[in-house]
Amino acid sequence: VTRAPAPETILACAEQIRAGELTSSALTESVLTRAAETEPYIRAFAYIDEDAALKAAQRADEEIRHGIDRGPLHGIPVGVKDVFCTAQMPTRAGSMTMGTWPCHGDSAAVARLADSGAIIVGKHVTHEFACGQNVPPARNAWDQRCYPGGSTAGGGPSVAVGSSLAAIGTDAGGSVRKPAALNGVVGLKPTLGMISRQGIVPPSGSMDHVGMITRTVEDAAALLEALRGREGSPSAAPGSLADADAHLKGARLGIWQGLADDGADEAVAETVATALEAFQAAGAVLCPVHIPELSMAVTAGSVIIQAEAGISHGKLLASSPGFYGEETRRYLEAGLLIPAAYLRAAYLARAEIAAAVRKAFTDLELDAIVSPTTPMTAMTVEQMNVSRDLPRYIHFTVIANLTGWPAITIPCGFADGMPVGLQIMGPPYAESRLLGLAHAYEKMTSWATIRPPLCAAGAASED
Amino acid sequence: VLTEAYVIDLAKTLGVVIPAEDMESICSMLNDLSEKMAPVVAFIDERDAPPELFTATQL
Repeated sequence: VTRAPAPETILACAEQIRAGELTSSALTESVLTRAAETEPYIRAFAYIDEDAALKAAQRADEEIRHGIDRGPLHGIPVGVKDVFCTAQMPTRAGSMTMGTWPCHGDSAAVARLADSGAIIVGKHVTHEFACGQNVPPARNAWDQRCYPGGSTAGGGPSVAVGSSLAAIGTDAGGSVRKPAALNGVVGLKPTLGMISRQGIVPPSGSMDHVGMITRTVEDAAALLEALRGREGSPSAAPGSLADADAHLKGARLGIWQGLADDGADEAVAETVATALEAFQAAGAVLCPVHIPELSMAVTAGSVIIQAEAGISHGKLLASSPGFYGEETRRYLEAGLLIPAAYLRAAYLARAEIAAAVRKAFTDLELDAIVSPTTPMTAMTVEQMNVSRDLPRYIHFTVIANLTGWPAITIPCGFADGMPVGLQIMGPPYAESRLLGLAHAYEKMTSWATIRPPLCAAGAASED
Repeated sequence: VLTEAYVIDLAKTLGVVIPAEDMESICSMLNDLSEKMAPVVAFIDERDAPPELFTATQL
């Protein structure tokens, strides 16, 4: 592994930009250079607009010179998953036929990024229509034979190698947290509805969330501040995370019992157990949580996502079936035919799960529930069987989609040379608490500073 | 088990256009789902009082 040179985070770059030590133009150029070096290996971008990015960076520099300060994202190069509508770039949502989704201007999240002064470098690769029925072209930053996670498939590798300083994505079952975990970076899925989903190519109406992938917890907090709605959601500003002791001492952390047994690989479970020991040593209290209803989570979540995706795509599917690749088309068609009795049972199972998780939190006076983010590390694409393996990857993440609760993944080590993520989930609007816990752990360890070899060595030496 | 004839009928009733070459794979997908959903349906059916679908916390 290679130690990262500074600055490589949003907040470090923002500080240098304000101090006059770095320009957005220079930063954007270096990010584009990193993309040119690494894209042949990780294929994280579906579309890059170098000219537009450099012009936007020049405008950001001009504004900063004139004393206009839009906050920590001002002049920072980021990428967006190719399901967010963008007025100036094509939105294909990973369409195997390269069709263009009918967009009407920027999505709300992209507009907020632009208002915050962020530089949108390009669109990140996604599973086709975020449905998870194909292997996307992107590859893992740590081993280019391996699955990058999805459906925000380009976001994780891109942030890991530094061809974006942050990514925004969507998460209906874990699609932000999985690629973050499998590439050794931070992924945050906030409370349902905290960030607008307006202008996003839909997979699922009630399960989908906008989230972000960053290199550090503080960067995730900065992005959340920029993207969140202002109404009723408490601040999660990076400055509020500083006191690690205050976050950890006496924190009551729930640990799933009975869920890991049939879920996590041994090497992943051991890595997460070591992380939990660190939490405990810092004063946190670990509390076993047993919720039998969670055995229904993956099935109920998968049925809801598939049925709602089918409904969302129904009209286009009928008028333009050729717009979709075969696997995705069949998945959506089947989604339209799911019997109502199954969908009803899935919705009721979701309500049972949400009630049981709320009860556990109250009864045990928990601050958060901690688990592996994914039960296994990234497998090689060659080994992968999409219908068998992709549901396994959402074993722990889908719970936060069913409940709508916020959850964050942070890197917590390696198993067989590949990154392992630790997920911290908490009750609605507890983002500040989760970010505080995650930041405290990040400060105790060096995982956030470790980069894939591809990152420092450059693409040429990887041959 | 959902037969191909049933699925064709269902698709017609709902006005869903399914290309013939997709039918076998869709039936298999729906039957797989039916198998996975059986314990979920059983769990829900055993409840005396089904829970509220959405609560204020979820919204």
